[in-house]
Amino acid sequence: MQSTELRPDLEFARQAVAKLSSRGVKPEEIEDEMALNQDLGIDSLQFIRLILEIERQSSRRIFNVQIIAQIKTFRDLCVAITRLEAKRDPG
Amino acid sequence: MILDCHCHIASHRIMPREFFSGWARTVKSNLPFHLDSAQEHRIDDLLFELNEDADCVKLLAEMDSAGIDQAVLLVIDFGLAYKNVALTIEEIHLAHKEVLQRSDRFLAFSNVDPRRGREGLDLFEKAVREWGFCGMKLYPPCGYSPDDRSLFPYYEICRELHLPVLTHTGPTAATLPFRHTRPEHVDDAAFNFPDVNFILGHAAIAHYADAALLAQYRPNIFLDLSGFQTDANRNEFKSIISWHVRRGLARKLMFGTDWPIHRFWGSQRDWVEKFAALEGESLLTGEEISNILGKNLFNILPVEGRKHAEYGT
Repeated sequence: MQSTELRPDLEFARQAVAKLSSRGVKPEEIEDEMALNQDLGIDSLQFIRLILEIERQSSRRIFNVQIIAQIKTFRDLCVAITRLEAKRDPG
Repeated sequence: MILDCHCHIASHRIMPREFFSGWARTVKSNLPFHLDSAQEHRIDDLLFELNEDADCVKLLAEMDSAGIDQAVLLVIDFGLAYKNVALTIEEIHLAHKEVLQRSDRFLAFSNVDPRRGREGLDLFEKAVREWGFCGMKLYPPCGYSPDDRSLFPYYEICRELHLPVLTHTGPTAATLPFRHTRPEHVDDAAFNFPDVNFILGHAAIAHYADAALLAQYRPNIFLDLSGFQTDANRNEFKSIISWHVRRGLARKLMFGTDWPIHRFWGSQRDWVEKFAALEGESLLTGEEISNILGKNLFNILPVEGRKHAEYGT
């Protein structure tokens, strides 16, 4: 996957993470390898809010428990979102 | 050697939907934000997904990834607490027995609600004497206390066969009462059966100070650390462990995951890594961590269980 900085379609995820970050991180400061918990201050409860928020904004079900357990970084989150897109649009 | 002292077979036929509904309600009531009804349903669906691994294939894959050698599968007899459990308690035991026969990566602890009377005790005896179960599980939220005299015949068998007893402590799913879940309810049993080792499941979570006090003063009380995954994600785990270590309890602590309940908060591997990282934090020595991850449980398993654990590794 290319850098998420170049993916305008993932901008909503960046905005949602920034909104829920307890570290006051701005959207443009979020780097791919930042850990949602340690670096961005999104605890387990806010993480639930994050996935609900992302699914609401994209109007579709994106996550399952298998995928959720693997999401550690912002990049992981974006991979989870784009994985669904890839499945829907194999071309 | 890494031994997970606390797992369950994830199956709607064994862990009833009502339990997961209750767990979902507990999770939702903990959220610090408002949910609309669509979001409530979404959380329900996600949590119900946790309970879909009847053949333990996903669990084994997680164990492989985490380097967990073996896991203890704990039976819970929900049959008297909930109306619609698909399998009878005997069938649930047989499902566990099948898993034991299929894989040497698992141990199993039996659980029969003591209100089942003689028939229940007979089933427990069969499980531990003939079917290879090497411990006893209690689930007091189903409506009985660990110090209930009706459990004493079970403890007699545990004493005879050197079986540990792992009992749930602390709050649980919102569809069950919590009144018997405080750690002090274990004290009378531990006092009357000093040769039986009792493991307080989840180290009582919110009541961890009370649980630790018991473990400090009763040689036969140990603490299972499953369930603290949520605290770890809130960065509170280290301070809780530190609290236990300051009281000299490292040799009483046991690694557990409570699969499948906490899958939502991370993988088994994440949880093992959280323990391993405690050495770098200078909280525990490498040896103490190794003991917590396996040896502390291994040391209190009966001889047959130890052989099985050694074989599995």
